[in-house]
Amino acid sequence: MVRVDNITFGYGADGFRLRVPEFALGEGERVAIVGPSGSGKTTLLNLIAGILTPESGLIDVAGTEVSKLSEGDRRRFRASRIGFVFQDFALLDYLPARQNILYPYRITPALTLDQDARDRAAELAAACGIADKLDRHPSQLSQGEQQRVAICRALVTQPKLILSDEATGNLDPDSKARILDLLFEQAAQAGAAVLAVTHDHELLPRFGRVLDFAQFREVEGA
Amino acid sequence: MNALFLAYAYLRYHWARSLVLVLVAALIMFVPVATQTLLSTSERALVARGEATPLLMGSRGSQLDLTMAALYFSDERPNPVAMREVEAVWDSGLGTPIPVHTAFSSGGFRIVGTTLDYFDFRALSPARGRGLSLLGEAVIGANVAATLGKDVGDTLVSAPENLFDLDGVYPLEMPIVGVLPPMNTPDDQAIFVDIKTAWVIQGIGHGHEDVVTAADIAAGTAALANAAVVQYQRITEDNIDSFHFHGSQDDFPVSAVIIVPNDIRSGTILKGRYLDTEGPTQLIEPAGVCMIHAPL
Repeated sequence: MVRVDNITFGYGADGFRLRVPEFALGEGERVAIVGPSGSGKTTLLNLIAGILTPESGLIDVAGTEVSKLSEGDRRRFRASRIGFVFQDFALLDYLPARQNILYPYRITPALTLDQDARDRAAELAAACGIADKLDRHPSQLSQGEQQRVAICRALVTQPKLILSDEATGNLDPDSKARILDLLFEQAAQAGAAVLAVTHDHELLPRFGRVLDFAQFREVEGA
Repeated sequence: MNALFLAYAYLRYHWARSLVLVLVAALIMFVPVATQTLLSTSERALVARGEATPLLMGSRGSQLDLTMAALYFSDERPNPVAMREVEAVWDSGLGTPIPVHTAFSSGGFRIVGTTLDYFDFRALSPARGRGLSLLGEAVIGANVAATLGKDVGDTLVSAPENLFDLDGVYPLEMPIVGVLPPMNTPDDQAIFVDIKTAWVIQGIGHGHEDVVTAADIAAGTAALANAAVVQYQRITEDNIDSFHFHGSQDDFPVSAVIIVPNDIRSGTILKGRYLDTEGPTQLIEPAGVCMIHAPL
């Protein structure tokens, strides 16, 4: 699903630098990325999603070399092929939950908002236990409910890759496990791989594989 | 379509913020449009007044000051020309001269001394009361009436120009005999009096008690002057006959003279007579002055 081969990236000439010799994520695989803050975990997610482009190396996602796409193509590829779940949920406060879930269809012409998409959004919401809250705005939802909406949004386009950046970081301990299980369950039903950045080591046994990211950071002068 | 949906959802959810933004945006768009409209309206009014006045005579100097004083009754005070210039135009038979005397004010509005020809020329007819018929009477514009709360039967007092000018320009109380309808022109802001009334305000003409009274004659006193004589500050039926002017009327001042030529040919001949740049008077076409200065 994802193949990263000898990529380098840096923020400015003297800033943070990252080098990943090799990394692979198989179809339907669940991999956790751990490491100290500032080690480049989120940077790797952004590189895989095409938000950032590497200075060198290759990033292949589902047979598409992301780093060689144009800006517009990367945006369309990201909207149609990758699902994102963020620590702060990144929900739009002015849209009700239903429209937040369908939001990817509103921002790219690569996706068409049809009845199938609406039905799929309703099914995902029912599976996540928020079917009766679809007309509420984020401010009327609990944090756990907001993260469920975010998971539904990440899955509604039926992507084969879910990128999760501290998705459970803002939740209480009980909710963390429930939300992560829900994410895995829905991703498994959709046949999607999950690559998740987390600081919560209690959750690591739920992943198939754990990648410690400290090894990839290049220390200046080293 | 999706962008519109999201925009509408945002505006509806943040309605208060959106309302403020819409109002601010509307204001930002409105101000230049309103300013432009205001300028255009002012420009049209300025040019229209100029175009409605064929020729204007005054002392040589700033054409703009002359135009502003004679047509818009502004605070500009061009040097006066002598009344003999008016008579000269009459004598030429080429047009109708209308003297305008705008040196004084009352209640913040300009007192315009002129002749009845002015009312015919501007097609002014009182909405209430009547026109000027006696010395000392005033006909006021609509804005003057509204602002000062004056109407027919009330009085106005001319403002003293200089408290230390003992030689003249004493306040004169003037009865209001007519109120003009709103014309949307500077005439709305004017207090019209006969030009002789303006001269009375200026001190050129005045009325006072007899210097030699019947008692003096009975006592055999041959008085030629009397420092105790009372000068009238109000023109009434009882004292109007005592008002008189000293000197020749040809020398009396007017601020400007509006000239309505009989025809184009007459106008051209008149303009030719005042081409001499060394002469004390100038004859201008106000329309040209207004067109040049309208953007100001």
